[in-house]
Amino acid sequence: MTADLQTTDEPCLIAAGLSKRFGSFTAVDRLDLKVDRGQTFGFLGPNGAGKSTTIRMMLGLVSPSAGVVTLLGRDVALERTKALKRVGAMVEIPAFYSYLTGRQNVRLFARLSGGASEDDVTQALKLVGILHRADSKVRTYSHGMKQRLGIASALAPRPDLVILDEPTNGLDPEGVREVRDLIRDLGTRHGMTVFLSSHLLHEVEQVCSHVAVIANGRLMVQGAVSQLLGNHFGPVEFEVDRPEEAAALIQATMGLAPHWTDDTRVAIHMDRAQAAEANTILVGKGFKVSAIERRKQTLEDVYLQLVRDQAEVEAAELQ
Amino acid sequence: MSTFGLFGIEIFKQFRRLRTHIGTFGLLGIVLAVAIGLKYGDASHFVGRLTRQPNFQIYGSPVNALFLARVVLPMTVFLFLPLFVSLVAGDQISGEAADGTLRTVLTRPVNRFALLSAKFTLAIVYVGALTAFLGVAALTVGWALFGVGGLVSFGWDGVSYFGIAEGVHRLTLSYGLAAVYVLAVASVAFLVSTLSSNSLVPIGVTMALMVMCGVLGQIPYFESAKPYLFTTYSELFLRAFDVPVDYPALRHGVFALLVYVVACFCVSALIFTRKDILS
Amino acid sequence: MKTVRVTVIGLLLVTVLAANARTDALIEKLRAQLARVKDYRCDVILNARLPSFTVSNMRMALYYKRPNKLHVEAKEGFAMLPEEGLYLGDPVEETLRSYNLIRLGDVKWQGRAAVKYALRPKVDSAAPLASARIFVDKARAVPLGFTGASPQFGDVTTVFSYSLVEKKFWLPTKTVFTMKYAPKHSADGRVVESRSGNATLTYSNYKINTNLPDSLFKRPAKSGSSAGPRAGRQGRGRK
Ligand SMILES: Nc1ncnc2c1ncn2[C@@H]1O[C@H](COP(=O)(O)OP(=O)(O)O)[C@@H](O)[C@H]1O
Ligand SMILES: [Mg+2]
Repeated sequence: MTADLQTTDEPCLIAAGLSKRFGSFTAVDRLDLKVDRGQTFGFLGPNGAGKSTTIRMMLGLVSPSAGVVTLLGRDVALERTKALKRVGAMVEIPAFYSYLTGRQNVRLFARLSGGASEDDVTQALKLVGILHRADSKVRTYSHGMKQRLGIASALAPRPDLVILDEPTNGLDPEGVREVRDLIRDLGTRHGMTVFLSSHLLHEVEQVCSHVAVIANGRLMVQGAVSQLLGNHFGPVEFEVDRPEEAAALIQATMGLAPHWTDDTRVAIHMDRAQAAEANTILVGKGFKVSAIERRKQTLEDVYLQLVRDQAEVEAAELQ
Repeated sequence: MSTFGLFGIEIFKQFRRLRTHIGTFGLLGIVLAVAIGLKYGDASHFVGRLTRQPNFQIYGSPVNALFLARVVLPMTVFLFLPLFVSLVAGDQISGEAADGTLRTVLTRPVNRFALLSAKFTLAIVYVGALTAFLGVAALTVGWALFGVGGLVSFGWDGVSYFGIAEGVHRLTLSYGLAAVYVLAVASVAFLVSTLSSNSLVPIGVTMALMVMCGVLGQIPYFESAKPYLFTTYSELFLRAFDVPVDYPALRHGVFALLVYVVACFCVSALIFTRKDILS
Repeated sequence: MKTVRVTVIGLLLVTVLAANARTDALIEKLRAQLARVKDYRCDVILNARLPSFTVSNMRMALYYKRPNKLHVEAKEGFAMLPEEGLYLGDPVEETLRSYNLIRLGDVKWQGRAAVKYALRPKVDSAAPLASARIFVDKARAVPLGFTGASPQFGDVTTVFSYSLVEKKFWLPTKTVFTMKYAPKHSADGRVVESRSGNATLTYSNYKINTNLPDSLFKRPAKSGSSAGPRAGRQGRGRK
């Protein structure tokens, strides 16, 4: 019991000072990550940020230039096979034996993970919605089906930790929704810890409890999604008859620059008290304010902000 | 997962691949072509040398199952067997790297050395199976078309005859020696396959190496390098028909080839266990 | 192929012992013994290690019918025998056409008391080998063997072993030919060519005087599976 408790408390995945250089190019730069048991962890970054390279290092496919990865308490560099025992993973576009059927592939890879019952195999195929094609050769699968098969084969051995690299890549909108629902379920219903990479903000936002943002191989920010959003206020949007004039008025009276304006609205960064004051000013000057709304901050806003900051920092570094 | 378990999986996969069977069909085609040529064509190309022995009476025919097994071997050892075997051995790592399945496999708790050992074992088994298949196919086709009889073997220094029992023994020895040579070629292909993620590269490199070593072996200046070239032992299988068999020479040849095999495997292991899987 | 021819000649020589020896009691006894065998069949195994021709366990069935019918069956699909060498029936009369025998005296040969004869080619014959000696077993009146020497072919020795078949007939159980060539030397004294060889015929399962039918000795016309111009000819088809 005590042992169980201990392992439960331990983070599922730790990356410490993880770096990978390809020649002089640094694809991953001193990355620190911590994923706790039960989290659905989003690993967010634009294309070429180093997500796949990081995941390859986590799984021991690629040896880090520096740093350590610990999966379920085991150092991957030292005990790769033990570390991967309870891990289900999919890296980049999942590749399968095209001359075998989907089911044969899932079964085969499950055997490599120590085996899965026929029931688990079927269940996994059903979960990702390709059971009806399970006995066709993978050769005949569409890209989206292979993607689903990749998830199925990661799940079939019932792992504790699932690592998925851009799992919704190549899926149709319906498929994207299904897979997202599925991933959400993995955490909530199946008690798995999920680490998933994505370049899609809304995906991470919808699915993940925690997120790390990476750009150019460097970690930008890491934390609970709710917390990250809370730290950043979104602009307040005023629906008014003359948005341009309203913006100019607020700037003149309160010294706040508009975030943006369009035909019907003006958006300005401000706190609650400022919003009330601005409303009074606008109404006092005869503007017709039809709605005041604080738009929920999106991860995208945070993300773009971070990427922009990073670009500025780098530009400064160059000088 | 143990090497043995992995080997089972490798066999399962390999058997379902088309390229595995290219060799069998190719060899069967060669056997059939030679057999038909002997049956309906002019066999004197093979048998003519017998009739150059003056004052001899010939009874029956030297063309039989054993004879067919004997003549198809030199026709295949120098090109087709190495080619067909490289097709499989040279694909073991590079093919999976190209398909990306190597990545999928190695996300599993699979020891790399165990995986490599399983794949190398598969290559060994394939070499053995393909060589044995050639022999069995030749014997079977020969038996069906010509029947069984003593073995007439034409060597560079004359004609040898072996009774059926002795003939089968010599053929077995010869096929075994051929298999060891082909295994050395397969090991080279296997080694190259750990370096490439294009499964054509190992075949090309291996064939090129075979030709290059063969040419080097012909140049007197490189005489001293000859014992170290694997192609030097490509004709080892013919020595199974020597009278008497020079067993020390055979042992030496087999040893040299096995050194190649072991060396290739060790280098493959060094490469593969350290390699970044980037495909 | 000279080496093979030498074997043939070796075999041939064995057969000439009775030549021009009508006055020799031992030779007459030998001929009388041979005449008692009207026909026979036996199993023959040939083993040979000759330059450019080696044979291991070539199994044949041999049928002979007096005066000169011979039939060979390859028991393992294929057999190859010297065309003129196996004068296993009664070689005497034919040989006497080519050679004269000259009694040289009593000797001990291969551990047995024997009479030694010289073989002299008749003037008009094409007998290829000179200075040959034949040894005839005094007690059994069978050829024990021969020796010969020729600058062209080297030293040739043939030794016969016998057993008494059906308690009446001395017939060979084993014939061993050995040949030893004088090594050829190059100008600087190196051995360029040193060839020697041997051939052993082992006979067993004699069935004597079973009245073999003549049809057995009619070989079918050249069969498709037999190759070469020589195939299909009768073993003793000389003119
Ligand atoms: N084998 C390699 N050699 C050199 N550069 C590489 C190699 N693999 C990846 N990279 C580079 O590393 C960076 C990160 O790649 P990757 O991890 O695939 O990004 P992501 O998965 O986030 O899109 C990219 O700029 C890519 O070009
Ligand atoms: Mg990627």
